[in-house]
Amino acid sequence: MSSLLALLPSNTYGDNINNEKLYNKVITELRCMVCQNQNIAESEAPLAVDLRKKVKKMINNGKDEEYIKKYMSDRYSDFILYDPPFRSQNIFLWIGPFIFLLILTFILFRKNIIK
Amino acid sequence: MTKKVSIIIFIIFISMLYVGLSHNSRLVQSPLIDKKLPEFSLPVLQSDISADISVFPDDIFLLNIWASWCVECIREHRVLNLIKEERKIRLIGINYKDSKIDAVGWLKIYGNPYEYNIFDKDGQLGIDLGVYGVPETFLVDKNKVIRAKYIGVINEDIYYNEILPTIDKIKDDY
Repeated sequence: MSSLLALLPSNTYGDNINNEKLYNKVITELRCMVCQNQNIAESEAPLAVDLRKKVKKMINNGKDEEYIKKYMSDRYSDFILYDPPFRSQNIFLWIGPFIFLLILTFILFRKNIIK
Repeated sequence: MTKKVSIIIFIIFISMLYVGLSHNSRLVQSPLIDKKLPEFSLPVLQSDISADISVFPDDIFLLNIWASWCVECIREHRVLNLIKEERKIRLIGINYKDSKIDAVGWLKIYGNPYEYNIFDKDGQLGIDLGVYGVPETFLVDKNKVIRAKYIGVINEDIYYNEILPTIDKIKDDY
C-alpha cells in the first residue's frame, strides 16, 4: 500500500495534514500565468512547478494563505488570483451582474405594467 | 420602446464582446512598475563574482531576461545587439533558469550585447520580478526603480517608438 502511495503525484505534503490542506487549497486558487486557463495545481508548466515549490516553502515557513496570495499578486498582479479582491479597477466585475439584474428586472416589470 | 431597449442592450453586449476579444489577456500589467528592483544575491555568469542589487548602475538601463532554451530570444537578440551598437541605453541581462554551459555557448553563437549577466539558475529572481514568459525586459531608472516592462520580444518598432521615447521622458524628469 505504501509503495502505491509513493506513485501518487507529488502534491502530497508529508505529515502535517493542516499544511497539506492549505497547500492544496492555495495551489488551486492560483492561476498558471503561462497557460492561464489552468491553476498551478493542474499545470506542469515549469513556472507552475516553481510556484508550487515556492508555496510549499512558504507554508513550511509558517506563512498563511493571505501572505502567500499577497506575495503572488505583488509580483504577478491580481490576475494570478482566481478570486480577485474587490478593488476600484475591477468594481464592474463585482457589481456588473447585479446592475444587469436590476436593469432586466426593471424592463420586465415595466412591460408587465404596460400590459 | 421594448425594441429600442433590446437594440441598445444588444449593442452594449456586442461592444463588450468586442472589447473583450480585442484585449490581449496574455499581457498583464506588472504591479512592479514604479517599485524598486527586488533584492537578490546571485552569481554573475562567466565569472565567480557574487552579485546583489548594488552591482546595477546608477543610470538608466535595460534589464533583459533571457535563456538559451528560449526560441523567441534568438529573434530578439538581433535587436539587443543593435541596442548595444547604438549605445543609447545600457543593457544588462538576467540568464533565467539555464545551464551555465548552454548560456555561455549561446552568447558565443549569437553575440553578447550584455555588460554582464546575473545567473538566476533557480528562477527565484524571476519570481520576484513576476516573470512568466521569457523574454521580458525591464526599463530601470538610476534609483533602481522599474519604470516600464516589455513582455515578449523587443523588436525595432518597440525599441525606437516605445523604449527610446520613454527613456527621454525619464531623463527629462531628472
